[in-house]
Amino acid sequence: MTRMRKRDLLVAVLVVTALWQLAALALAKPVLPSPATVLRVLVRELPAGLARHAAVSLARVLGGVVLATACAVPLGLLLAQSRLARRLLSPLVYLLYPVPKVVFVPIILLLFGVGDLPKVLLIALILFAQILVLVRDSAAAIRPELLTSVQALGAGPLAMMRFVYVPASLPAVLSALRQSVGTALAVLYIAELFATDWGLGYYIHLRGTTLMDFPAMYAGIVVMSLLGLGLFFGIDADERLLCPWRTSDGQGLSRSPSGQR
Amino acid sequence: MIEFDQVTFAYAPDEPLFSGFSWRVEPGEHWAVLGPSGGGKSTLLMLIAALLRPQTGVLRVGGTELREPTPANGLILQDCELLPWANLRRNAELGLRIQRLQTRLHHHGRSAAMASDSIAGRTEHWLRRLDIAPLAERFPHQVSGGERQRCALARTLVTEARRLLMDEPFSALDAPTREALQELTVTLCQENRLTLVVVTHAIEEAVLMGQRILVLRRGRPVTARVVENPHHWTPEFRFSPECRARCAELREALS
Repeated sequence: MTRMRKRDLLVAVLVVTALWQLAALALAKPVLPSPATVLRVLVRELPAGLARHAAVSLARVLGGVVLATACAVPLGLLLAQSRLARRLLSPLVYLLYPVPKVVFVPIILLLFGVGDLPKVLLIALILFAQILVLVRDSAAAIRPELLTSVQALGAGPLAMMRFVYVPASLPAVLSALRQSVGTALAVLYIAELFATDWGLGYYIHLRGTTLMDFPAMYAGIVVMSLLGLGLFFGIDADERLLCPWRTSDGQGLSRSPSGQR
Repeated sequence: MIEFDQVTFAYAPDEPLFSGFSWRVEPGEHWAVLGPSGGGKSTLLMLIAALLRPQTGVLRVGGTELREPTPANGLILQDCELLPWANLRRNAELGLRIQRLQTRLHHHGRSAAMASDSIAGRTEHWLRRLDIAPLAERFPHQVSGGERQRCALARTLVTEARRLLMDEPFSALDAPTREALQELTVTLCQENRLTLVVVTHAIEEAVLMGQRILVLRRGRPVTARVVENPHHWTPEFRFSPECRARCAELREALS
């Protein structure tokens, strides 16, 4: 997903709402209420618990992001630098990377039981593989001349980390998050169907199936969408803040030929 | 002073590139190292910078045997050695920030470390001296190759390097930019009494920048001879018969 212009986004929202309205009129059944109805219910439901459901889901996603980043970045940097680590761990990464992480839902729920931990772990698991691979590749792509010249300034291992490897892998972390935050939300929805009383997954599923309260279910879906959109915006904002050289005129780094202006 | 005393160096498993190699660079001398690519020029520079270690023999730099790289040796490569994610100011102050980080690490606190405004002041001075102060907030990919090399020079001079070690520093630049930077480099070395070792495959560059020229000839081990060039970088030298004669002499020595 590339960066969005605000005006384009607004137009897209209007188009989707209009299509939704038309479909609701055409279908004329309770299973598809009109946007106006859903908006009314959304306003009513937010203070009555929906906001807290959303906050719980958001906290689980952010917990997963922090946990995955904290584990994957050091390991990715290690893989990029140590031949031994590569030989030991690369086959494992290769094996695990393509496995759809959603299959771990039952295992993790069985192992870690109720509460927030299994949900956070699942999200972390999805993000972990993506961040690990991208950080490893970006660190391995740093030009050897760059490493040599910084070492020549007297930089020891810690200074190399601080001034070279960590900043070089920041864009990879953000790309990985952007690529996999959608999947993470989908799996969060699944995970929140079980063993919890809070979270948007629980809210949407309960309203839609047990309670048959369709407007409230749609309100939950709208909030879930907004959550995903907010996460994308957050990642974009982080990128502008942390990686100004990429957004300054859109050029990448490391291997890109920086020969001429 | 840089002193090679019977130095042997080989990239395993090859035959030694240098064997019993002795060479002496006095403080403040300007040397050019000329030779074909793959002829050991860059290796020589990496040895001085302590990024490679000799297998036998002694290599003294600034009076001591170097065990690890030091900012007193300012290494400047052909291109791409600036951090792409840092603007020119951040790149220029990198050496000082590395020093500060490592000082804090070793002394467990900030007492011995350099203050931020001291770093900023020294950096600003050299950015101005190298005429890139107006570009300080730009990123390396937003400025020209010549401006990037000026920044690399600033980064080296900010750390108060005693020696400039340059590896084909200007070969990616167009002719006017190259000549301006050759002149600037020699001037800076004279102003600050720096020792200069510039590695190049361009005969003209060697003649313009080196008061003494070490000519390396390909081989295992490489063979070396010294060509004296006492009138390098006087304003009229570039167009003098002596300059042309020296170029011819070097072309002879290389073939």
